[in-house]
Amino acid sequence: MVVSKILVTLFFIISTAIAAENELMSAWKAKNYRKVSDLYRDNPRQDYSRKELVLISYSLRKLRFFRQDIKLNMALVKKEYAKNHNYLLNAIKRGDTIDPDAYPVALKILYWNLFTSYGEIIKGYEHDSKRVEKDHKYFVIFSKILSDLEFREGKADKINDAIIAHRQYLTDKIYRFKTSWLVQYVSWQQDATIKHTTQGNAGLIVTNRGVCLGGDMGIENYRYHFYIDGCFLYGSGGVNNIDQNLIDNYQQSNVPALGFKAGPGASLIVSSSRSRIGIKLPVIYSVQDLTTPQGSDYKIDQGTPISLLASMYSRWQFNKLYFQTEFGKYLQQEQTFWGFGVGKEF
Amino acid sequence: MKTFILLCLFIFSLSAHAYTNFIGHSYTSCLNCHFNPFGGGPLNDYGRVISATAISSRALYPKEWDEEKLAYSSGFLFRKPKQNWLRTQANYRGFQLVRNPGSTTTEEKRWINMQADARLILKFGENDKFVAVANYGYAPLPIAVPEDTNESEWRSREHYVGYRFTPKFGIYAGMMDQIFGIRVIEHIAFSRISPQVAQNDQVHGVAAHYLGDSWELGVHGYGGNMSQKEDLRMKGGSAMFEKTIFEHHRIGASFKNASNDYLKVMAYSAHTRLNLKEGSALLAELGQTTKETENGSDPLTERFGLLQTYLRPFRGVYFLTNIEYFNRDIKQDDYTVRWGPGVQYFPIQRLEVRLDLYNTRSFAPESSTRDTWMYLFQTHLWL
Repeated sequence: MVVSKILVTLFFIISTAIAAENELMSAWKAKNYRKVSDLYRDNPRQDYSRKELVLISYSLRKLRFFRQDIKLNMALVKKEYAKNHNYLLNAIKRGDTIDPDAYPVALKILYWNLFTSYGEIIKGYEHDSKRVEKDHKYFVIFSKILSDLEFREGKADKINDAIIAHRQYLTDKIYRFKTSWLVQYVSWQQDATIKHTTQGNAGLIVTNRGVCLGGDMGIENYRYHFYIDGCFLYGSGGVNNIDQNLIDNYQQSNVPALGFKAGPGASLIVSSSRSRIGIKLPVIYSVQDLTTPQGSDYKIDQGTPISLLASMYSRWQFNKLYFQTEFGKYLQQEQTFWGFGVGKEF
Repeated sequence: MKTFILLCLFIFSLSAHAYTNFIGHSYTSCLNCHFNPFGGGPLNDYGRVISATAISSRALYPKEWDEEKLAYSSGFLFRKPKQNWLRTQANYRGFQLVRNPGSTTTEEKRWINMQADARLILKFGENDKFVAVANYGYAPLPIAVPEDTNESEWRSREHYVGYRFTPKFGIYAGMMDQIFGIRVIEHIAFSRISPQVAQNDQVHGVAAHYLGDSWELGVHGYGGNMSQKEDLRMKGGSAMFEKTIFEHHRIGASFKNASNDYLKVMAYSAHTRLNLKEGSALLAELGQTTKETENGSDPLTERFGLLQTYLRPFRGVYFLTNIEYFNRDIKQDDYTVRWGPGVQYFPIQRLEVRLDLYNTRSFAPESSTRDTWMYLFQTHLWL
């Protein structure tokens, strides 16, 4: 009774295995890689033939299941070429000269699969992490093995270059905190109005020039820079009336001006020297004391000391030092602000 | 690659102005791309290929067109010439000029045909050691010329012959632009107007050019523009020296001394052109011009400055900032600053569109005036 039960069980197992094998081959012939992969996943411990394992590996790579492919290929290496594999690893560790012809091509292909699968996994990462580092460690090991075995060297070099570039890209993508200081020569205009109690109003224009000392802080990666910047304005300017109907010539020179300019900005980094172009939306606060003409009939209205600007800026980088230009227009006013200067990153 | 390089050596030729900012593409010497070693005028074969394959955007081309195909199509009428000794071109540049935009009372708009010309280049010998260049076409008369003048708007812009005795040394004779400073395309630039080396200041003369391993020298002697009356011709000479520094950058100095029966002009300047990689560049020039009239008034010394910056975010697109300084009399504190952001776009080879904004501010101790505004929308086509 027991013997017959064992025989029935064995028969059942063998029949299932044969059916699975047939199913796997049929799926492969129909190029149904998904089914090949599913069959393998449902029964990974089955004693597949070497040919079947090769087909499964191919299917996994087609489906971009690189980690499963790596497991499979490592299993194949250990199962079929354990002696060669261990000998090769020890020889590399010792720094011995490797004779590529002493190793079977099939093993080299398995190494190639491992190398390319790790490469594909690394290329799939969008952010740098410890896992990238770990996968890269294995990638480098198989790269070294292939190099010592002199197998597909040209292609391996290209993949190596691509992985180096991708890792650089992942590193470059990381936003880092950045600060810098900047001193600019600046000029800005402002409107004011001189009012007479009975004769009406006349416009005044103030043209200032001076320096703006400050800096910026923000985050930056290889392509973008987001920041807040600000600087203290110190300068002086001349004032004239632009309408002659009220007062013949209202004129003042070197009227001191003080203030600040601050606001957010963003830029696009356009060259490997990290030169960039960007926009800012700062507010400018500027005060200066315009003298009221003698006689109590006059009054000077300087309007609000705060204005909003929209400005474009460009920065040319020379390592840590940079040169910057900025051109801004007051929103809903005709006046402009511009400046250029030098700065240094910390 | 070899085919591509060979191609560069013997295809077509054509025109454009001098884009001195292309030092940002590591072209330190104008001779790389122009027949005229100081830039401007017709492009040589290599320059046309570079214009097609590195300067212009490829966004509008089919994806399957590779750079080699673009290079092959960069010739006159999109064809590869059948011989190696003759090059032809047609060139047009026009722009919409708007002064005081947005003003209800003072806005002024007009379209200006700046340039429409045909160019013919003969070239012979190894490395085109002999060249003859003729450039004839339309160019508007300067605004200062009276309307009832007999001057024609159709005239020769340049015509010269050149012979390079060695790849390093060449002599050029005929009517050409004067050798001085950074030859930027903005003919209204103070750095071109003050020393009188703008687009209508060509002269007949002889120029020598020496290209050293890390330096370049040009010397120009001239007898004025022979199409002008004898008393108006500016006779004299100019020279420019440039030195390559840190492999990719240039610094230089220029000198000019010329006079006619009424005016004596002496100018000098120092300049730099910095390569900030991948097409980005920074150009700067600072100089002075002393003008002495024959009417006995004191000589007047003008000071000019130019700072031009280019950034290339994508192939074919350049963002630029043009900052200019001008002091009409260095004994006075008055000066003018012209500030202009702009964008230049080469959507395909043979087409350039450009938008420039100019904000001009005057600084004077005794006065304050509103800024003036101007914008230019420029179209440049060449075949």
